[in-house]
Amino acid sequence: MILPDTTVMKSCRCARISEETLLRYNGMLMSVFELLAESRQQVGAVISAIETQRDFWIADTTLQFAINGKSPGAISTPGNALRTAAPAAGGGH
Amino acid sequence: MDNNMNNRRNFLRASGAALLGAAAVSRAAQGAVPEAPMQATPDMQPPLSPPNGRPYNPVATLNGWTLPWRMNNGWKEFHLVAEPVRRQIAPGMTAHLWGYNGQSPGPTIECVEGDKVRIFVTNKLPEHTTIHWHGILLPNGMDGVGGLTQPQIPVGKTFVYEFEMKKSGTFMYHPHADEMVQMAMGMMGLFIVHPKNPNFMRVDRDFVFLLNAFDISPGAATPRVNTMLDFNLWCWNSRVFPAIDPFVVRKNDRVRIRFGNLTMTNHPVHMHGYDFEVTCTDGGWVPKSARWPEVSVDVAVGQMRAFEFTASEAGDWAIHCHKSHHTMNAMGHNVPTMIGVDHRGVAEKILKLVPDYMVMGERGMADMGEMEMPLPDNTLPMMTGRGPFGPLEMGGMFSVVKVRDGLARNDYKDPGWFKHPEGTVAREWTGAAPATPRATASPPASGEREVRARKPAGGHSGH
Repeated sequence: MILPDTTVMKSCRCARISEETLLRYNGMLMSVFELLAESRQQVGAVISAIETQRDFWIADTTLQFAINGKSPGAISTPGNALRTAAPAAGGGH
Repeated sequence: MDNNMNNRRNFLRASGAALLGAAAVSRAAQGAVPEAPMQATPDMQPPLSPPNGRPYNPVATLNGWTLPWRMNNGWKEFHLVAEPVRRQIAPGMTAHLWGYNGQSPGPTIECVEGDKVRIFVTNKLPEHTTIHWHGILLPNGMDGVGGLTQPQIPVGKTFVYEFEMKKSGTFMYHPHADEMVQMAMGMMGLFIVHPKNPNFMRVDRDFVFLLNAFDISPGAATPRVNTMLDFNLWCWNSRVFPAIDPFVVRKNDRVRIRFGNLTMTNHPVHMHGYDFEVTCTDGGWVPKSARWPEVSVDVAVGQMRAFEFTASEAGDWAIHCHKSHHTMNAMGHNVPTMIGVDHRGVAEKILKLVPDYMVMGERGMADMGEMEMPLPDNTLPMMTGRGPFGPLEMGGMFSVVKVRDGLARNDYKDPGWFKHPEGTVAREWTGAAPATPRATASPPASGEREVRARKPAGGHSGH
């Protein structure tokens, strides 16, 4: 399965926005507060990209399990794995 | 449609292609339309001495030029082409505007009181247009108000305006069709009518320009046409300092400076070093008895003013709009004031987040004039320019009247910076000085909230 590397893609776009924000700060077109807000947003975007990628791999594992009937390298029985994987894939974000 | 075109073509052929009245001209009749000269540079062209017709003393258009004409059976024929243009606002920034004959503003039209003038206007814009001849006395149908006095000139068509110049004076032209947009895009030009008697109100140097304003977002090139007041480029002839031509004047010349305001706010134009009198408005010449001395003259929206003085004092005299925001380029009007804000400890933390961060504004904004920081593409620094003594810290509506001895009559070349006679420049006092204690704040009265301003206490450690 080929998926775009979301972390790289997002942080790359973030970096460009941060760069432009800094240029605007340099020209006194924007304030230091906007610069900091942008920086905070970039940190948030990178974190959410990492979390999204984690969610993807969990979901992918669940999917592979559903298709193949066993988790790669799983020790537990299929029934147990399903019960533990499902809430992780759906939860908390 | 085709039938109509053919009919018109045949009619024109039959009538010897004589074009009269405000009528659309078909492509086949273009041969009867005078050539439309184009201008590729934003540099001031030398004043155009009239090669034919009545004699007059030509004007010098700042960062502009005068439209050549042709004589045709006693008519002076001009050809304006309304079209999208690229105008260099200053080196480092080019705007995508609409203008005439290759530039914004369009060329200055010059003629003489009593002249019969025929102006062809070809529309190469993506929408219809008209031209209104601001201040000129003419037949109602030549007034150029779309829908009111004429149909708008459709895309690709040429209309012709004809009128006789009833009086001399200082006028301008601009569209009166989708007017807000077309003026916000830079469509305008000067229209100078010289007196029949070249000795009436004669001056040695006669400068003209229009005040116009654009709102171009940092990194962009096309003005935001829906901005009403918060513009970021305050221009003279679609140029900002340091790219506005200097007013080069020979010492003891009689000088006239004429300008019209097509922005959306007033501009108190202030010239250093002299007092002057307003001698002309777009309503006509001001009688001597009605003039008074000034050093600033306010030009309201849609007004024109011309003032005169005798350039008796050599020097580099500043001339600018006295609204201090109008001598700035693109800036953030919502950026909070940082003066007195203690950055100690914070700057280092911010640097960890934003590696290229630099503390600015905590001591005022003069740093901006000295430092060259990387800015967004196609964006001019808020304040810039260098003079012989350091950074000029200006932008927008600012230029210099350079009065010099020994210039040739028609020499408008920048003579460089003024060489001050010895001992005539403000200097640092190096003698004994009395102690100058800081003002001490009196303690707040009971019940009054104390507002504490943090004052820098010697040095700038921690920045």
